[in-house]
Amino acid sequence: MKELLRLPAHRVQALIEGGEVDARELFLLQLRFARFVEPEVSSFLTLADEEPPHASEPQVELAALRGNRILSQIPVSVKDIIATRDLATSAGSRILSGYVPPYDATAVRLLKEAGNFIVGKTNLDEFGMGSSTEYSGYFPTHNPWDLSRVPGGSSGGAASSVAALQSFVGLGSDTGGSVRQPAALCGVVGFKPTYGFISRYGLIAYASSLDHIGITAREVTDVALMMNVVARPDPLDATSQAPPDADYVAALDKRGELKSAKIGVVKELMDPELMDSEVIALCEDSLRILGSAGVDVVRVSLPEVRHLLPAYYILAAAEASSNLARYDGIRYGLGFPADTSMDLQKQYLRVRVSGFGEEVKRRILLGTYVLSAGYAEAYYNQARQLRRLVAASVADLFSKVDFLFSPTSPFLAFKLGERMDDPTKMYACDVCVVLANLANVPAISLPAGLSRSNLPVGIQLMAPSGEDARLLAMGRLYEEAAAFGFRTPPLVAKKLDEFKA
Amino acid sequence: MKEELLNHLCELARLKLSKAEEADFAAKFAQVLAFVDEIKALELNAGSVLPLVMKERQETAEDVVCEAESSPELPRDYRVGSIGDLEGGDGA
Amino acid sequence: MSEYEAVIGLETHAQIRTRSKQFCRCAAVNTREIAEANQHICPVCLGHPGVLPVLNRESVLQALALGVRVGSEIARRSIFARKNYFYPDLPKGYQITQYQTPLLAGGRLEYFFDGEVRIAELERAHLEEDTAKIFYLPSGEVFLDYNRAGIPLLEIVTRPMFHSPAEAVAFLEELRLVLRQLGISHASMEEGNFRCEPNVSVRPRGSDELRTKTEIKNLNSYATLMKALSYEIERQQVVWESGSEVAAQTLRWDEAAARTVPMRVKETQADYRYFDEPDLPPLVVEEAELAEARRRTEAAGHVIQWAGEEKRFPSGTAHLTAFLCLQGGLREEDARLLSAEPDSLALFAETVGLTGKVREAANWVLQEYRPRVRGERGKITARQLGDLINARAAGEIGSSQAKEVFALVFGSGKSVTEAIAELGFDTKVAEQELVQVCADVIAANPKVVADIRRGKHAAVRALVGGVMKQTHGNADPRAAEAELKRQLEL
Repeated sequence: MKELLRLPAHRVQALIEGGEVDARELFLLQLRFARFVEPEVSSFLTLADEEPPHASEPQVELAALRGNRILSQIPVSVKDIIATRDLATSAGSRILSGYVPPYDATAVRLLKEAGNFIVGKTNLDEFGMGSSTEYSGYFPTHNPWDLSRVPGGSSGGAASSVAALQSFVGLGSDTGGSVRQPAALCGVVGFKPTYGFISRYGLIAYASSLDHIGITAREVTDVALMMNVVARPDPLDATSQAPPDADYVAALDKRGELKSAKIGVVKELMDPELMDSEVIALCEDSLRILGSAGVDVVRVSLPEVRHLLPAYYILAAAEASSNLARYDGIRYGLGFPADTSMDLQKQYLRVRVSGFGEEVKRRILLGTYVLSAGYAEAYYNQARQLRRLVAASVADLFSKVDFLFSPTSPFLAFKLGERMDDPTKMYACDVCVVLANLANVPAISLPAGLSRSNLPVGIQLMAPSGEDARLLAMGRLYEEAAAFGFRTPPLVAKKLDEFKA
Repeated sequence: MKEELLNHLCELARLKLSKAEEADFAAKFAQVLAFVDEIKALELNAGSVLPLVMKERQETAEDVVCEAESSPELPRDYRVGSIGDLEGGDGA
Repeated sequence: MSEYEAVIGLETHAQIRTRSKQFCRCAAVNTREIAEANQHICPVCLGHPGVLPVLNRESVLQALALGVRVGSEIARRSIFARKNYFYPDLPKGYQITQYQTPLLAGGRLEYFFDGEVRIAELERAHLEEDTAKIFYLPSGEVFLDYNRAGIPLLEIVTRPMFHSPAEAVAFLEELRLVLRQLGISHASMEEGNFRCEPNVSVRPRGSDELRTKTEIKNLNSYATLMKALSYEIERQQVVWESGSEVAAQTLRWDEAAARTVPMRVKETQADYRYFDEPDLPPLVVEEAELAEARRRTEAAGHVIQWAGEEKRFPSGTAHLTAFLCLQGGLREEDARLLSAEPDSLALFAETVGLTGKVREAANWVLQEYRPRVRGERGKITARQLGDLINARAAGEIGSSQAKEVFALVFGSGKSVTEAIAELGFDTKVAEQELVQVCADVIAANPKVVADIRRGKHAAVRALVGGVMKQTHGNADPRAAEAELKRQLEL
């Protein structure tokens, strides 16, 4: 039975629905194997108890909405920045150590209502601020393909848990590529929908106008099944704007229509000066695969690309400085209940100085700076302008092509510690992925094969805002044409052999 | 960045750097500032800024009381030590 | 007379009357005791990680009604902003407010001051959320009540244009009544749902410059507002006269020391780092919402019947006060009192319609009706009050009898005729009896009679009084006087 753990979710779900596999047994098996691999990879901050507290039968209404094409009865992981009632949620920060949310995020509630099981809460860079999961307030996660390397970030735990057979699908968050970049580095699929398609209610805010809940999975079909569960309009999120009737699974069947689609390769993001040569080579292979599937591949230019990272870091830091002001120890989290023998100002400092990690403090101060009177004009307002220009340029490109293409990460998974001496080296990881957040378009990272050193490489496809279903269909078309499928990292395969169910 | 400005930012953000942290932090913060600084010089067409939120208009809620199911479990006792003579912002 | 004049602007915060809070659906209850604290709280108004605000539609409609009333420019598309600062009463570390695009811009509100209608110009009014309530415990600890956190607030800012504390208070009182009559707010300073922070500067009289202003916070009654402003105006004059400059400061009123003192404020205006609230898309006001606001504003206006005509006045007191003074000949104070209370006003107007007696109707309503409706159970209709006024005018009852009749009618709902009968005020003294009583009174007052004989005819009044006393007020005083004169052969 343990070989089931290697399957993509949709196949295992078919077995459950066919009565060949018991969902609760599968969950227990999943949980035990997750524990078994955990010492190697450290994907989780919290693992669930063996008795899942929630029902496994999907709510009839929810299932009926999408003709039963929803993810159901599957063990999933949830990034620890998404609130789960009765399950500790820390956002990877010491400042929320011991915090148990009194409510479920909307996406989590929907997952539970569809009868899925939560395996645990996955590790991340504190509050989503990082690209390697090394900035977790607790411990780093290791890449299942090479334990001396990072899994990417900030949703490193989500990606490693799906790659290391610790969960079938993961909910992550993506503010500037945080779902896609680790998916690429761990050899799985990572998807960021259009802003507002998945409710942010319960997603602990880093940079609200850029924050998304995203999905990590082994195959595109699993992403579509998950979208059919969680992409719902939500009255608790004023920015929510999911089309109520979209069916992402049904849309996959229309991929044949996309064979005459036009894909624009962003040439600034294929620049050998920025990108690892092996990454470029595998991307070119993928383009050939797409070309032979009939897709029209053209080169397009987006000159603003080189200013995207500064703009992204300014905007994200600005919002973060405000979003993280609530952590003062007065109502919950570290420092609560407050030590009233201490003067208030001391309490603020005690909680915030010891609770936040170094990178978080840097971004709070950067954000405070770029919003300050006298500096906002030069930094924050400029970055907003640039965001406007980029969004306009991307919209313009989409009047000429159906999809945009780039690598997901400019380089392969790097060694732990390699980019810790200079924060801007870490920021450089996000050069290809921040575009989709700034321009508010859906984007997906898909496995594009392995490097000579046996490390995964991912390609990124982007579609116009709101064209999430088409983007998934294109992803599925590529996946089929490339015929890579999901591959179990060798180390994990070995562990599975050793594992006694 | 001048020490004075950094101190003011720390004060606004209720953060403090220890003496030991200061040098390393200042160096890394300088790297970050150099990284974002190029944006200042860009000649951007100063048109209307795109709304921060990518949605035309907000849905508002009906004015009905519907207390959260978790409300009964929430702590009722919130207190802090002395505020001193410091007053709040000049709003609210 | 001082060579300086004050320039006062007002920033007021009114809690908007809604069932639920501004951004969550907890009950909006402005509790005041620690025992009731933290009963209406949820993850949203406590600022838990991951929660999001959803705006209360009713608070928008309420604000729009004020906008219609004062003729503001209504932003059909306005955005919310975050104002960032730390304080223990601010759960999120920022307040959601409106900054660059307030819902309401401009507007004018008339108020009655110093015998005339004046016009206050509003700068803006916008929606925001209240903070938690702070209790200072004897132990030195600070207790926080988040029931108040997130109650909808309407911030209303005037231009700096009032020249005396009394004028500022006259405007505030008018604004308060308008908010109450429109149903926008309970607007009670004592209950803490109407708060005012004035800013003030002084300048040489006749100049139109605006000098550095100071702001005064934490004022919780008109009395302290008056005292604080008067003190501050005086203080600023002294500063300028001594050749120094007034510093831009936030001050508070120290009641014990009876002076304004500077507050230590960590963040100043420049430190708030306002930026667009990313959790809320633009607020769009539709035609239907404007129509609803117009309907509410219209409904809150006063309609009175006056000399057979229907007269309409906007909510508030200024227009009505002017009308009642000029058309009705009422004293300013009486006119204001009537305008401020819709049910007193209605009774007054209807009674005037029935009797044509303006002063009498005003007196009865203000002196007998208004104090009673606050405490006692009972009521009186305009028909009943009109009958009472007419009975008194016809001399059927005396003035002290009339008050007794009022009390009985108010308490029992009886008609005036019934009440007069019940109190025995209708027993007319028969002619034969009157002859006898007059004779008795003449016999009993030889000194008065002697005075009358010496030509002091006015002294007859004293004898009339005697007759009234003996008949317990039931004799007709005019008939009594005639009979007395007949017997005295005058």
